[in-house]
Amino acid sequence: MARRFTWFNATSLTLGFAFLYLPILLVVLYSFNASQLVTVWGGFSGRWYGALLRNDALREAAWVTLRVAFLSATVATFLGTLAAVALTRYGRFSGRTLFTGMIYAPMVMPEVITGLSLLLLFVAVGLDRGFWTVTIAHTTFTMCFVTVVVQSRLITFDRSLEEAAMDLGATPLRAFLSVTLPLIAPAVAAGFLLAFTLSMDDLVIASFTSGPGATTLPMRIYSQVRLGVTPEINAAATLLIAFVTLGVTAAALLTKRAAQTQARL
Amino acid sequence: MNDTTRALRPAIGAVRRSFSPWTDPQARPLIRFESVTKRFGEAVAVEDLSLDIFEREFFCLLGPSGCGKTTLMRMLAGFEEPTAGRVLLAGQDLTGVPPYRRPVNMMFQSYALFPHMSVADNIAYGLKQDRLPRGEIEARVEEMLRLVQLEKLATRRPDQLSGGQRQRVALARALAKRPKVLLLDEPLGALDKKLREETQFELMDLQVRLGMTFLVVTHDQEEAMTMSDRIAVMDHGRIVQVATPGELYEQPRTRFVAEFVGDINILEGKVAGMEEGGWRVETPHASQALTVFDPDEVLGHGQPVAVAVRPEKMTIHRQRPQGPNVLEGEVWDIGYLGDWTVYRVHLGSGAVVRVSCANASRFVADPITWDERVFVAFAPDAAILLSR
Repeated sequence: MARRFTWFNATSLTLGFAFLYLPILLVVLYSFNASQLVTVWGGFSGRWYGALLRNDALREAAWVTLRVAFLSATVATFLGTLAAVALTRYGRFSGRTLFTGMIYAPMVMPEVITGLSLLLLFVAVGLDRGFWTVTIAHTTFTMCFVTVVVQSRLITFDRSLEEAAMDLGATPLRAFLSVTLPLIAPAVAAGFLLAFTLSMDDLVIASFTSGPGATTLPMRIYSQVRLGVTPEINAAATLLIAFVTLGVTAAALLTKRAAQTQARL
Repeated sequence: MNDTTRALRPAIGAVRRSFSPWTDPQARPLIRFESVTKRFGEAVAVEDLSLDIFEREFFCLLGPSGCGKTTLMRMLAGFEEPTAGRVLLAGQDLTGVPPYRRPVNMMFQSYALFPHMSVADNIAYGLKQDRLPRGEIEARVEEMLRLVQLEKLATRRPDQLSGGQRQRVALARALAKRPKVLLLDEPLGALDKKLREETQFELMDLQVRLGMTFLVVTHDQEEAMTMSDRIAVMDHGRIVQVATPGELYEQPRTRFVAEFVGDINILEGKVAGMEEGGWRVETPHASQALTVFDPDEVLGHGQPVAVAVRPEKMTIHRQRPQGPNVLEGEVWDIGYLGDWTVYRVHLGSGAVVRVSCANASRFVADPITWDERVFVAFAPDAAILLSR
C-alpha cells in the first residue's frame, strides 16, 4: 500500500484530531490562566493548582475517587480474570453464549440504566448509599473490560504449558498460579489499569449509587461547574486527564509487551 | 559420544539383541489398553483398541495425522478419559486418575517449556511439586543437566536456546521425576534432518541406559523404524499391525501398512493356483503369471490379490533375465539420489513401477538411460501377497 502524503489526508487528520482534542486542550490551557475569568487569557500561572491543593472539598473528593478506583479495580480484576479463564477454558459448557453475553452486557448497557438498576438494588437490599455502594457499582461495570483484555491474551495462550505443569504433578490450581498467571500477568495488570481509569472518570453511575460523604471527583467537579466554571476546576480536570492518560497508556504498553513475549516463543 | 555411553556400549548391544518380551507368554505388560474407545462428539478418535506394551520397551505409535495416535497417548497421560474401556499401568486401573497423579511424564511436541523460568527451574518444576527436599532437587537437576549435556546453560531462559537445546531441556524435565513411562509426542518433529538423526540414536541409548519404557508418537516412519523395538501402525482409530520394524517392512499385513511404511510397488492380479510351493498370480502387468512364495497367506482360486514388491528388491536389466517374474517396460524417469538411483519404469499395461539400485561403484560405463526398453525382475520370495 502506498503511504503518500496528500493534502486531503493531512486535512482530515487535522480536523479529526482537532475535533477530538481541542476542547481538552482548552481546558489544559486555561488551567494555567492567571486571570480570574475563565474565558479571558490573563497570562501564564500555576496559581490554580495551588488553590486546588488548599480546596478541602476537591481534595476530599479526589481521595474518595482514588480509594474507590483502587478497591473496585482490584475486585474487578480478580472476578474478571476468573470469568475470562472460564470463558476460554471450558469451551463447550451449555449456556456459554448466554454467559458471554451477560458478561459483556454492561459494556453496551447505557450507564443511566446500569446506575438506576444498581440504585434500585441497593435500596431494595437496604444498603446505605456511600463509599461501599459506589465501589460495588464500579466493580460491576469495570469487570467486563478486564475480562475482554485477559480473554484476548488467554486465547493465544499455549494450553500445553498448563498441561505440562499438570503432567509434572501440579494440581490445576497450582498450574494456574505458577505457570498461567505469571505469563498472563501483563494482561491482568492492563485490565486493572483500565478498570482503575474507568472507575476514576465515571460520573453517571457514581451519582446514582453514591451517598453523602462519598462524593467522587467527577461528581464534585460537575456540581461546582453548575455554579459556574472556575479556573480551579480546569486545574482539577487537567490533573484527572493526566491520570487517565497515564493509566490508559500504561495499559496499552503492557498489552503490547504481553503480545511480544508471546511472539518470542 | 561421552564416556558413560562408551563404557556401556557392549551392554546396550546385548540388551538390544535379546530383548523381546512380547514373545514371552509369561510376561506381564506394563501398559495395557483394554478395548479403549474415545469419541469427541460424533467423531471417533480411537475405536475399540487393545494394546500391550512391556517394561523397557521402546514403542512407537505410527500413523498419518488424525489416526488417533496422539489421543491414545493423551489417554495414558490423563488428559483424555476413554469413552469406553480402560487403561492400565502396572496392573492398576487409571480410570479417573488425574494427570498430576499418574506416574508417567510427557515430552510435548511444542516442548511446552515454561518461558518465565530458567532451564534449571523448568527441570526442577516437577520435583518441587513432589515437595522433595531442596538438596535432593538440586542434585537431581544437576544430574539431568549432565545427562542432556546442558550444564552450562542452566540459568538461561528457553527463548535464549536453540531448537535442539530446547528439545533437550524438555527431555530432561520429563525425565527428572523418573517416570515409569516417558511419553514423547513427535519428539524430533521440530529439529532439522542432521540433528534429528543424531538425536534418534541418543534417545535410543538413553532409553536403554535408564532402563525406562518409552512410548513415542510419530508420523515419520523412518524415525519409528530406527528407534523402536516395536511399532503399532494406526489408521482411523484402529491398530492395523503391531510388529518389529523388520517384520513391518518385510511382512506387512495390509496394503495400508505396506504403503505407509517405505515405498512399494503394487501389482493387482488374481490367484491362478499353486505350483511347487509358490502361488501363481495372473496379472495384466506381466505376460506370464507371477510366482510368489508367501506362506502366510491362504488364498482361494480366482481371488483378487495384490503382489507387492519393494523397489530395492527389484532388479533392472537390458536383456530378458532367466527365471520367473519378469516385467517389461520403458524407463520414464531416473532419480539420482547419490546412494541410490531410482528408475520409474512404465510397463506396457500402463502401470509404473519404481526400481531402486544401490550405486555400488563410482563409475558405470554404459548406464541405463531414459526411454530405454528394460526388463524388471524380482525373486519369488521378494514379493508379498496382500489380500486386504
